[in-house]
Amino acid sequence: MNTNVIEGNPTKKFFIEMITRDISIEDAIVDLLDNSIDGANRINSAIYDGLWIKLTINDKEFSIEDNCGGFSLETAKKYAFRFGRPEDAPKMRNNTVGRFGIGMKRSLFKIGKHFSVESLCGSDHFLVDVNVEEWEKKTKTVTLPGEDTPTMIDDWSFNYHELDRGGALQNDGTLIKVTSLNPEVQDLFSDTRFISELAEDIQRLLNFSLLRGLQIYLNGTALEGKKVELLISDECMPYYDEGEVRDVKYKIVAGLGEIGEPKKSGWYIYCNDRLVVEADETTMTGWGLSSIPKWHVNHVMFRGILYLDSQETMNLPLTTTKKGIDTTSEIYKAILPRMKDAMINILDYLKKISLMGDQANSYRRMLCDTTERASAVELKSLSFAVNGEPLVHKNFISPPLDEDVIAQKKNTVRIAYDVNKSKANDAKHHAEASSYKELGSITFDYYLRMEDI
Amino acid sequence: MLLSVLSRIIPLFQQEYQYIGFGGLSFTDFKMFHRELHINQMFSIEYGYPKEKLEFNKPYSCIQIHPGRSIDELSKIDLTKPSIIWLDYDGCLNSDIFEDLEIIFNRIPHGSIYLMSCNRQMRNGDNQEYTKSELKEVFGPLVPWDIEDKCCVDSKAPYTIRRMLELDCINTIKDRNRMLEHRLKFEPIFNITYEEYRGARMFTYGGVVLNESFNEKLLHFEEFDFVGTPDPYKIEIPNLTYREAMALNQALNIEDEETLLISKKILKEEDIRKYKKCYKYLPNFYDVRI
Repeated sequence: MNTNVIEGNPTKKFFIEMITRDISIEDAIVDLLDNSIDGANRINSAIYDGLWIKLTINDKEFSIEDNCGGFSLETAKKYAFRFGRPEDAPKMRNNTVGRFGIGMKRSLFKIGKHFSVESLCGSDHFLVDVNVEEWEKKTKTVTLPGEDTPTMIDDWSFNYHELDRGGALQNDGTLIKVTSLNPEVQDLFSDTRFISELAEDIQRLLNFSLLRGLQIYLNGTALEGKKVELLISDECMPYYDEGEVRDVKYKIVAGLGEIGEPKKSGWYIYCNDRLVVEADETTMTGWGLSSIPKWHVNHVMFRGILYLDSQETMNLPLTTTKKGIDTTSEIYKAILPRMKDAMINILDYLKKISLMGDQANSYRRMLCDTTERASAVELKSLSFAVNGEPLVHKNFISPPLDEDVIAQKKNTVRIAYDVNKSKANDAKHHAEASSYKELGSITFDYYLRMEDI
Repeated sequence: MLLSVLSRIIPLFQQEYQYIGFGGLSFTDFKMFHRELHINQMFSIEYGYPKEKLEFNKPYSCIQIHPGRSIDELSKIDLTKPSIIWLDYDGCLNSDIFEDLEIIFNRIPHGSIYLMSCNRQMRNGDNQEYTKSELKEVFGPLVPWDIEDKCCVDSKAPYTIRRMLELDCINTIKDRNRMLEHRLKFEPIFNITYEEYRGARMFTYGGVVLNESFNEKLLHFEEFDFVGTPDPYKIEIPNLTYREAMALNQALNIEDEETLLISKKILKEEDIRKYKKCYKYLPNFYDVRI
């Protein structure tokens, strides 16, 4: 018998604490929504008409119910309730974002101390009901190979009940309920500000699914997808590039967007249609790298969208929290130079607009008011073609600028000073100037003339 | 000098080249490359003149005029074709030059040649040499992290410019390689300082993009002492009359005859040294009364 063994197994309590530490409640809830959407994808990945998810959130209970197909008992046994995806798990060829086999359990542990998961999937109908505190203490006795005496070890299994009749679900789908909410969760769930922020998050992060017809209700209210939009016309065409790196299809569309909200400027990254990076203005998406300047308020109209799609979700450069990109991934490192390439001409154009000085803002506004828009969902399926031939790459076409205005602004400086008001009025009257601005020009010209400069 | 290297490189790759440059109104480089290198597809980018004037002055119909700034116009030209690109900038080093460089290096294929020239002085708006922190302020991550303190004094400026450009060439290619089946590499060739006839202190930098598997020894650059030098190669043109140059040509490398020219006070030893370095590449200019 080998006695030189140090057990490295984590305790369940430690494990739960670790996996739930780095995820916010919002992300935990969106993770559960992702699972439902993965189900919807298995039914029809193009359109989600008739499919819904209902979220109920209050200080007593959290529940999420959907009619998105549910999951079979076999899936529950092999994957859904296991920690981590087994190596022999089948490839997830359905363009999902769930992949580490950790999402659902992590979310449930994060929210409360008692959860139940009911699934109806064809002939399978079952319920897993878990009291987390009891589960943490659950042990079993096994006789290890090469040992004579039985050893007590942690029991990580979950029990299920088959539901021949009864159960809450009438159609194929899933119903998850969490009660005995964790104290900090209970506090949040009773705060209307949290609920409205959650609604915002869902509308942004899952806008693709919402715009494809999936209905998501939060405490009975239907949510609507928030759009990311680019200006698009014959004179203002986004930069466009697409290709494939190691089984990940990428598509870059970058150009100009709405003026006014600096928080909306930057890069958006979708992985299998799920927004994972939003309005990024950091080095992660190329800002401030090589010749690309750091983000500046002059770049407020910049919008870039990167779509990454893969049937094998493990290939996507996602972090486990799905709230960001793994920038060390070879795939992302290969695509980032293309994103920087997109930025060069667009940022140069925005720099030129800013050279228009006091006319820059009205020009920006005019562009926004007179140019059509296309949403991220529309842009993804839009084919960029010339004479019917699809393009794989296209440079940014910038709206025309009045070069004369820029040239004039480039050669001028603004002089400002304070003077006595009544004296200024006298001088203005004397010079027959219609404004102080005009008086400034007249007096400056006068000085030049008198001094023969 | 550029021509001699280009005529060595081009036949090796057996591909048709396009030329992209800033032709101005004189199109000097275009005339030379069309006649000497037989390049028939040429693009001239020029800013500040009406298109009609540029079209009128172009010497050959094969030159396409692109009026506008290089950053805009380079994107409109198909740079995925084998290219020779020489961007002869008017001013000093600025961030636009790196933007052009990155557009180019994200696209040009194996065998393509990139060349740039600019004024080699590195000075701020007050005509003072950039301090290290000013340089980092203006050029950000393009400045190598370990650059020395007085990197912009006139004697160091060409070293600094070369380092910054080379770093950006290599990094852009390195990033691009992540997506390429056949990886590329950049082989620096030109690193030259010279004075323009109006006294501007100029710097020319450039090199060739090659497939990673390509053996650069095949380029046989060993006979060109100005290729791939770690220090900038200094072109100094001796001030000789036509008659003096002819006499020197006949005496070249014959020690007694060279000494004779010196002892007769026709030429200085310095003139002969400078002349030997560059006489093969010197164009001849004549004043002609038309």
